[in-house]
Amino acid sequence: MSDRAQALTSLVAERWPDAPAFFERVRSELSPAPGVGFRAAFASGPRRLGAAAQSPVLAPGSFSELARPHWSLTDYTRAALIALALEHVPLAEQPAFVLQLFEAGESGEQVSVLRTLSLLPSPDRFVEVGLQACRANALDVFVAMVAENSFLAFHFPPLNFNQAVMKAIFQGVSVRRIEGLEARITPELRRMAAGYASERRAAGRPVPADVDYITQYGA
Amino acid sequence: MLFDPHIHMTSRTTDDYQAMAAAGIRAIVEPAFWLGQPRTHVGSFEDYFLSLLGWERFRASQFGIRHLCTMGLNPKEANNARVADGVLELLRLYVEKDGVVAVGEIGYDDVTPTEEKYFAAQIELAKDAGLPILIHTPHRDKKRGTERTLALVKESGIAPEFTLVDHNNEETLASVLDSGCWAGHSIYPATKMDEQRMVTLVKQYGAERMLINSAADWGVSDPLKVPKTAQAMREAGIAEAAIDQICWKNPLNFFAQSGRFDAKAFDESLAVDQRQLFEGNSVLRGQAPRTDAV
Repeated sequence: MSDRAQALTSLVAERWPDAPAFFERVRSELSPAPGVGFRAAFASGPRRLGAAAQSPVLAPGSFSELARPHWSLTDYTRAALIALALEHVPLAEQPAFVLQLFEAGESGEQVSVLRTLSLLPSPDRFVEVGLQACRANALDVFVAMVAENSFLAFHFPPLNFNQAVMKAIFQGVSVRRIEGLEARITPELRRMAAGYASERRAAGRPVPADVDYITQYGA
Repeated sequence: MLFDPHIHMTSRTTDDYQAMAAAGIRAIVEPAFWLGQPRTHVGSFEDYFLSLLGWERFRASQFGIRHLCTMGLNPKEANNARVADGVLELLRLYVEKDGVVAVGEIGYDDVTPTEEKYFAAQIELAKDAGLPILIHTPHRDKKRGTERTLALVKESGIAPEFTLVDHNNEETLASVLDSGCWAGHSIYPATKMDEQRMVTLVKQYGAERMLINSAADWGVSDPLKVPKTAQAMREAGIAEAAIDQICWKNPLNFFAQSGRFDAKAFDESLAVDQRQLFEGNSVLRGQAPRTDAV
């Protein structure tokens, strides 16, 4: 088992007595490749956590830089499942595997995938999942990608990062919740924000304060 | 008589159809677009295209409304290469179907290179099929997105009179009209364009090549925005002839360029016969069927 899978399954097991039996059953579904049985466990597993499912988890030292306080035990359990599954997926197929988990997931599954993207090995490879998430209309899914998530600023290409910031403004998600935003404010992003302000004024509508934050940052 | 040239009726109810008919809407165009969440298989697109041509056209007819549609790969889903190529191949077939009056909605959303590739490919598809195009302009970075749209249209060689650029606002309209393209406006409850702003634009720019639509879909939107905006124009003193041009003649003439329907026939009301069935299905649930004398 990889160090990451070991650490995640242990973290869950410390908080959920049924975890060893659950992970054991999931492991039996992973060979030769994680299929429908695994995906069913991914969907339903966290539900078996009962009352603990949404409880926040104080991340141990090994995750403290990557984990965020709002991650629930559900998110950790799903991250553990992905870590276990990836050991049975060839390296070249891993991005498509995680993308399918995301696309075929209901919103709770999608949120867990997005929050914990940074825990995946070489997370850059999974940027397509993040890009798809930013096309979602479901607010909780979009928020999981853009707010309190280090993945966005670390791994999104400039065009997609700028679009995600503008969409956050459209959706009323404060850009102050975007980690690493300031380091990625560019003349192009300022131009887009200023263009939006101009459009709002022409329509006789108020300009969100977040627009000014971007256009004036560092000015 | 009113024409809503952009409305997604698959997301709406029969109550909407009844209210639209009562408010004077006699014809609609339903552009193919996305369903609120991305499709993960090409086959989902095919069944959707078939429903636009089949069940939805039938439903509309049961309320005296003529239903036409456009076929296209919308820009949001164009970003998904795993379905986009398959859908483009399907479109070669579906643009040839009766009742298809344009290729659309196509255009930019995030303004990515991938979107541009499928946008350009679908303009070529429209040229081959002799169809006009219906272009969606982006919500974000709208002005720049519209400028790039007009540049791409020009470069493609499709005639501007075959091009309808939709979702305009105060900052995009002048350049669209200057380009020779037709200009659509989506009248929404809170975003895009509203009735009073539209009145102002009509007073400033006139009625030529101007269209309005509700763009009603599965989100907060209002399928009666065309009649409501027509009324707002009337109350603001805009001439009846201009209102008729914007709300009936312009959409009719634009889509008639497809050669796929008889525009003259649209002057006559569509007779309703609710005794009819579509593949065994009726829109009625025990009500007495309405039948008009033909």
